[in-house]
Amino acid sequence: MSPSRSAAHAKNMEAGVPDEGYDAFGYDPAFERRATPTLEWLMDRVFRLSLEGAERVPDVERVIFVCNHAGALPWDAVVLRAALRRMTSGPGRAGRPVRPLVEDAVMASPFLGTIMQRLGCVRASQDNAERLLARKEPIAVFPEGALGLGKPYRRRYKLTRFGRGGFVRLAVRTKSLLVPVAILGAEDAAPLLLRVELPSSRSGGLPYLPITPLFPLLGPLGLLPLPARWSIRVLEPIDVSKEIADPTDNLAVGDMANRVRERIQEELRSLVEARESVF
Amino acid sequence: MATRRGKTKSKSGTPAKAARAERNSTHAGRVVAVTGAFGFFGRRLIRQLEDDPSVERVVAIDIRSPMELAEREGEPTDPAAYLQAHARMSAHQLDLTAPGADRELADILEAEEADALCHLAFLSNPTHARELAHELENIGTMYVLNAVAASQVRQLLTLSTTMGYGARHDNPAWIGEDHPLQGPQESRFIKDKIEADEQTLRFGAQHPAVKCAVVRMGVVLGAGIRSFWARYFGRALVPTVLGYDPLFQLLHADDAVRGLKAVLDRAPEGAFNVVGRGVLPLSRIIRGLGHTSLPLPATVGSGLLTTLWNLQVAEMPPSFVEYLRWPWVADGRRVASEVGFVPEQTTAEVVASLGAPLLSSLQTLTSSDSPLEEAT
Repeated sequence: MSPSRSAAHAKNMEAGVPDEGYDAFGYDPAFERRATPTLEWLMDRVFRLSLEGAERVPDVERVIFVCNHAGALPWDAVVLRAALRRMTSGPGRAGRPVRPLVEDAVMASPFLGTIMQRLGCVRASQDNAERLLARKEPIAVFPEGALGLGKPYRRRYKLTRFGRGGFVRLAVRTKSLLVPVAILGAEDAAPLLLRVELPSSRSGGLPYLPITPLFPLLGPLGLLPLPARWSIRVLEPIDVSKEIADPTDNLAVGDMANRVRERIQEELRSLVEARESVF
Repeated sequence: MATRRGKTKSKSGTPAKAARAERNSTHAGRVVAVTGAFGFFGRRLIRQLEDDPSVERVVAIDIRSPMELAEREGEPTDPAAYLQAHARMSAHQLDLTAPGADRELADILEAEEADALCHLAFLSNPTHARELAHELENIGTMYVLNAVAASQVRQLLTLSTTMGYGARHDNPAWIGEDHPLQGPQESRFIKDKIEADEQTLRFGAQHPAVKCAVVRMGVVLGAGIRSFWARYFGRALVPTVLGYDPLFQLLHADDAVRGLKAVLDRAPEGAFNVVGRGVLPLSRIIRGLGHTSLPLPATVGSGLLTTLWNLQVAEMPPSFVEYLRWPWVADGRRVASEVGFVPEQTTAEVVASLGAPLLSSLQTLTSSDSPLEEAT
């Protein structure tokens, strides 16, 4: 192996250039291209998605989008990726899609996990997040995690606990910009009415069977989303590493996580008020 | 190609020279001993060592006699002609499962003035002969370490597998060498390899004078490879787990041997993943080989496999279903940066180049192969 080739290869691995169409996270650009028309149709016709704050998407190397999480199915991750691609693409610009970090239970579930992976989602973990940021790929985190997805419909539009503040620590350590994003619509597109606890959720797999108005009533068709109106609003970025010097300062980290959470909650409330109807 | 590279490397390769100068050795080149010398990797590694001018002698240690190997390889079986063909190789028959094998190995290493030992005496396939597997892999490695400690050998390389990390839903996308080895404890095949791996690393920490490296090899395919992975991918109908499609790395057999040689030449310390370049989903690999996936629900699949394994029909123990379900892609960057080894062929190239030879090599398989015959 010539040194130049191995150096080029090491660089490729760093930059995450897929050697053969798949990157190390299982993203398949060809699969996403095939899915794009359907996603676009969903966004425009079914969800009638309104996007706000495209001008606030920062054009720096390391960005962490922080979003609220809801709905029985993680539609928000998929829609956010497509939305950000649209917001950042323009004449002569290819768009900078985000890599949503999705919780274990989803990424480990049959079919769904594989499809999400091929569409660019990544299992949420510190290690994966740091690798993506090192590759200069923007990531999106859902600090509510499984708590967010497991939110019953009656608690809609209310953010749950924001994890343990891991995303703040990550941002401080990697000197990334935090960009809060409010997403409205996921809980209306796949409202979680009931959870049927499953006995065997030891090694990954779904922790419970979600009951929505259509699922499992209509079988696999019931996984299709309801035509709720969606809005995504990108908020002002926060340069956390300027405010927090020490990522092990748990109180400061917790304060910051709460501040971001309240900021998103506020915007979500205003989006709900501005919306004329759910459908 | 590989030979030429070996030669150019040895000319500029200072580490071996430095090691020699350090020891004030009396002989001109390195003396490399190989256990499991007549297994798949051993045979090919020895060929590369014989072509390397920086290697003075190769000491082949195996339970089989070199004549057995010669017969299998279609080489001259006449002892005189054989010795001529392998002028720089000396062979020793040694059973690593026999009590006292450590003393015997230490004697061989001392008599041959070996500088380096490449420990490749491991099974490449899970076997129902659990006791034998344990004696060979776990206890055998202990004997090897005892012998190295008592001898003048200053470099040790132990072969391990990335299967040791285990396939788990919460694995990172790329598993680094510092990740814990969490392979299925219920599998003797994996457990013994993990223990040999850890024994070697512990030995390295306790013996700073010996440079200990562990090569954790990924899935290797190539003509002549007869591992259960080769047979798995060689099936016309390849069972997979319904709803899951994990990423796989495939390493070409030639690259695997080059990787071993590169680590041996550089004499680094610690564990190194030697894995395929790039990834492909399992379903793509199966399609690329021209075969058909047979997706089975996980419970049905492992139930079936349990029955077949207990009947000694299946080649994979039931715990291996996990490797078809969850990710276990290993990060090959450490060996790239510290040793300078990068596989020539990507995973996709391995699939493209191996479609046909893989199948034909499998057809020549005989079922009478004993587990030791399978050892690499």
